[in-house]
Amino acid sequence: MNFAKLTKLLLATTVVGGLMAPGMAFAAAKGAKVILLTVTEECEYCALHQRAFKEVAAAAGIDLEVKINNYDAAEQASQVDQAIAQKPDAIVLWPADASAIVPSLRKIKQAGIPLVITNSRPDEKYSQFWDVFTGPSDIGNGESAGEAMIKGFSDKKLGSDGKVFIVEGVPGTPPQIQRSQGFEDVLGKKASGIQVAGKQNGNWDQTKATDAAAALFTQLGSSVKGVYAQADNMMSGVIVAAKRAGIDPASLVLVGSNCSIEGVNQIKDGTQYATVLQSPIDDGKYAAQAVADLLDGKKVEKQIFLPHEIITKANVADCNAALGR
Amino acid sequence: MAAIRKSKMISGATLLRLVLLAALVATFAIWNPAFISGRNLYALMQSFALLGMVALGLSLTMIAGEFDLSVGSMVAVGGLITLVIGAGNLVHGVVAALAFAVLVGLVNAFVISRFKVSSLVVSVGSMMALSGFAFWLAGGKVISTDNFDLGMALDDPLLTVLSWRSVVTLAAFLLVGLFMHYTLMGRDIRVVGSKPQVAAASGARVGRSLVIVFVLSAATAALAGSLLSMSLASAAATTGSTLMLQAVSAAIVGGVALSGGSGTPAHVLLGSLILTVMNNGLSLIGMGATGILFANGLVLMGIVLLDGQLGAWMSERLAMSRAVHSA
Repeated sequence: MNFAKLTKLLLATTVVGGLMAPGMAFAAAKGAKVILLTVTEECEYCALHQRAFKEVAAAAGIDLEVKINNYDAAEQASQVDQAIAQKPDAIVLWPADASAIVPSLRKIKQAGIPLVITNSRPDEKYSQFWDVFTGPSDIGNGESAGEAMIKGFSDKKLGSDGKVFIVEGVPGTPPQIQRSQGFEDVLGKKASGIQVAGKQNGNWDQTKATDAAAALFTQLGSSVKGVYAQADNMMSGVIVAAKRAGIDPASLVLVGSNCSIEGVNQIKDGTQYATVLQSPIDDGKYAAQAVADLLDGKKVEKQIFLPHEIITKANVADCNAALGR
Repeated sequence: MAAIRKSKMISGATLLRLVLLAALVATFAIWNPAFISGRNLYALMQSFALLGMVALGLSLTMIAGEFDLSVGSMVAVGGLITLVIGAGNLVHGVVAALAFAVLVGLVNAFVISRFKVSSLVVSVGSMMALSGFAFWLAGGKVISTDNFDLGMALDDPLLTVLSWRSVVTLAAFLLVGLFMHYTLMGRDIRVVGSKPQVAAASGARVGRSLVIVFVLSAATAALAGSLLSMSLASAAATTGSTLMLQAVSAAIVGGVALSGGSGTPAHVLLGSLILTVMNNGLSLIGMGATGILFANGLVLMGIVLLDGQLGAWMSERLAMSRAVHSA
């Protein structure tokens, strides 16, 4: 990490800490024993999540213990057994697998330990087993992408009608289904002239996304005015396919997601119009704040979703700050 | 300790492991008294239930001088078959998983003995084939079930620290231990592992030994996967990916030689317990996953190095002490 990144990270975390500290009493949270069961510290998102969580927990005076399972559902089940044995005041859990965790959630509920689920929500039908869920909403992520598409049409003076297509993630996964759902809902409600004329799977993979976009550009030709790729790396593939098809990517409204480094660079150089920010720092911060509030006996919403800020060239610096770059 | 010294069953190497296990338990109990709480010992035995079962089967192939790399994939396939076939009745799923495992064990043993191919090569093949089969069965998803009842029954605490799942693993150790100790077939397996040429010349049933160890290895892995999938109410193609290495470590820590011929299920039980106690204890005192992995590596290397030196020294001391007692 270079000095600039470190400074940004410190600034970001100071802001988080600053927001938490003044005027907040953590009477019961102070000194409370909380166990955070998380997945790994080897992905950038996960490491930032954990760091932000620790910052806020420390500000609240929480006595925190972290257990990591490297995305091993069986290991996490045994960590849950051990955590219950330690009789903590609360457990915060990032499920290694949203299905395999359900029996463990039931055990935590039976032991009467307050539970906050962070980042990955198990099926809603088991929601009686947890007190609070905080984390991203893929529907919200898709809705922001839809808003960005509408704004892009207006900014680029493309009128209120036109065809767009979607390059989706791995079929059947919640982000693939829900991001498209949110995107289409917003267009349907706010800009019915903008039509989703095609969808193909890019499997979160740049090469696959290039092929998918190439097929759609061939099929729809120059009538395409915009593309929504559910991840920025797939948008890189869309841009390659557009250039090969003789279309200037800058003339299209290209909306990505995740604020990944490819997206940031493409937004800076003007080929990509927007991306949707999902901040790992917010993700960790929300979970820690929820458990602190829960311990303090405050009323906490059952589901707290992260904001999904729309990032364009005007505020692209927010992306880097949010990701600690 | 006096009773242990008097026993002629116990070797220096076993004593070394018992001392290590006792030292680990004592250290963790002093460091954090919650370690010996009933609920934590229950958590520990739940981890043991999975690792021990896989290590037990795998170690049999090692005792026979072979190796079964496919146990990790077999755990995933066992779990998936249990939930896919057992959608209506999980017991049918367990039976189907075991039947499939027996078939895989037979094929492994047949190819190794009929075509004289190294078991390492054959089991790499079956590992990959089983992994592909697991991904096909799962269809890119996690297979889950709403039937928590059987899993809950398997995991409900028994006598505070046990559960039916850990009892099944302990029972498997007992049965296989008796089989290896008291039957001619058990002796054959050991002889085949230590001196294959001599074994064939002296009439030991080499082919049948291979069939038994590979069938048991696949079956215990599949059973571990079945029980795990019921416990988690879900199964995925990636389950068990790290289990094979842990099981090899447990076997080696228990004193099973990679060269074959040495080791018993009781040793593997000790090895599995040492690793489980260490992992549980380190996690309890707040060590991260990477630190625990590092500690595992150190213990594995330490045990291998000590085996030659300290194990021999302890054996010598034991022999001297016995000589004094009998004099």
